Amino acid sequence: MNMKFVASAKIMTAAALVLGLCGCQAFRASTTDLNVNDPEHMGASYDYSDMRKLTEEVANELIGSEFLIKQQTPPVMVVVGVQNRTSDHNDTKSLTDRIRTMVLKSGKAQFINESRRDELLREQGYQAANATKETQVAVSRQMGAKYMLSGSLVEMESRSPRQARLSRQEIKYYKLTIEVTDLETSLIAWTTEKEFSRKASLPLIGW
Amino acid sequence: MNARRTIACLRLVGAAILAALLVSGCATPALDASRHDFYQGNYDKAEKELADIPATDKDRVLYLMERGTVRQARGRYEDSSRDFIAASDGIDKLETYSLSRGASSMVINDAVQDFRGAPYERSLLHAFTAKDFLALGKWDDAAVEARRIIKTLDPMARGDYPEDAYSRYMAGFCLELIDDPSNAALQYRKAAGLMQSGWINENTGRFLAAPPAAGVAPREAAPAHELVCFILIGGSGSGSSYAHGGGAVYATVENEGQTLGRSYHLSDTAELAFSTEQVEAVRKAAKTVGRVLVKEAIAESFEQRNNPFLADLIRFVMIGLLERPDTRRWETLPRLLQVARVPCPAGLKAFDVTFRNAAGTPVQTQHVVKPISQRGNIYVSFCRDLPLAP
Repeated sequence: MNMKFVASAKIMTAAALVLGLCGCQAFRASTTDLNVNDPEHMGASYDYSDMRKLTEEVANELIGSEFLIKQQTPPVMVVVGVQNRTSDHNDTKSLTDRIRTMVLKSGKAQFINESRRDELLREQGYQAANATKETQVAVSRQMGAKYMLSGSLVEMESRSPRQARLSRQEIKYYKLTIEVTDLETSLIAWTTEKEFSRKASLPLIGW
Repeated sequence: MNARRTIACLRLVGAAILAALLVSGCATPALDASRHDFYQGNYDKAEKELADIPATDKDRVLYLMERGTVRQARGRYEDSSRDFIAASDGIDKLETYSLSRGASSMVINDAVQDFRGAPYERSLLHAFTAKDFLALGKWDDAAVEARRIIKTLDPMARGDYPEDAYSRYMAGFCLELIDDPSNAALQYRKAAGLMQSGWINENTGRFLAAPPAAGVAPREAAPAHELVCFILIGGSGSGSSYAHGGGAVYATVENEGQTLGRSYHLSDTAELAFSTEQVEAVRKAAKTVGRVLVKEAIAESFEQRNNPFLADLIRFVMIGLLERPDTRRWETLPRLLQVARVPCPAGLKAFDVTFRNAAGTPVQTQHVVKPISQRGNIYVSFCRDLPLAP
């Protein structure tokens, strides 16, 4: 009788365990759509939420700046990129791409498509050789940029010292500098800095 | 009853031994074959051996390090950098100590733990990744690796482990290329301090055969164009052997029959591995003694239950077979890490590197056409005395 009870208890426990694991969210593959406007940080490092926030702040400041307001016509700009001075392989082109999109949409500035120059020339060459006269684009009509947009993303980091502990504290500081340079005079016509820092704690012992 | 108990115990011990043998990972045939092919110059085959790297393998980082080196030797710099970065990410994740693996290592051996490389291997991992980016002309990415080298060599991260001059020089050079001369100078100064012979002018990154008398860098005219070629010699050996190579100890760089200069020695991975062993010796010995005591206690418990045969079996397997040192190492690393920084003609498209033994006799000559990248008036390249791919 006692043996039977023990055996049934074992079977029931095993069944409960299997059912529990099957039903548990953590043991199933799943996907969730996130709202890109809600910041979601998994650590102290620069991530997509930071990229969105920084670019929005820079673009809004540039759009509302005296420098652009004073211009008679939207000036032509060329984006030369943001120097990555962090210790992570961040895609800094996404920073300038987003700033360019926002500023262009505001109608306050025009941009040269510098990253597609080779393709552009190839297409013009192809048209010159193959397209009809009526649909052919004219060559040597490209606009020259008056201003250059560039910048740098800097990171500074501090970590908790080596000692007996269960988690590691990490603080990261980031600063994005964006500048607009007059290509004729080489003077900086406009500049801004945006910064943030974040602290994260990572476990040093896990299963 | 006694016989039944013995059989049950035997089953239990058998299962435990089997599990231990499986977990301990006795052999890594793919890795061994790949290394063999690599040193034979069969890079294509060496890469194929490591085509599939299991995501959860305890040696995943090691596989990625080895494959990254193979791909670099094949000139596949983009793929190589991806492997090295994945290895670096894997190492970062392993900073969290695994209790399960740690407990296993207390019963089986240290090889059951995830491989995260010795500190010198971790800094060289970034130095090798930087080389990929230099070859691709991705200067900002090379500088990211320079910052990672500096982070890895920071005393807080490194502890008592040795640091290497080659990684320091690489960090300085990458920072020099992105116009950060003050930080580059700091790295060059630290590299110079680690050199056993020779000296580096911290303001230019150029080498001198000996430190200047007053310790102050002499003024020197900057050459119109310079070639910085990272010279890699030999292999890092395997098991208890720290190195192997063909006898070359330095290299000279020639262009159109004219000698442009020679390489200067910065680091020796055999020395770094040996120094690392010394730092770890006490900790490893204490852990081994503790582990043997645990295994002996298990065996004695069986002896007390009148099962001397089982006790002996446990001793034979757990201590005799499973108790072995963890000799896992990034074996495709070169032994000698050097740099030649020499004046060169403008428009450099190719040059020769002659590897020489201690007497200056040529051991091997390689005609280098790739990689040669250019940043301003500096040409960047690297060369290793490996057999040329058939």
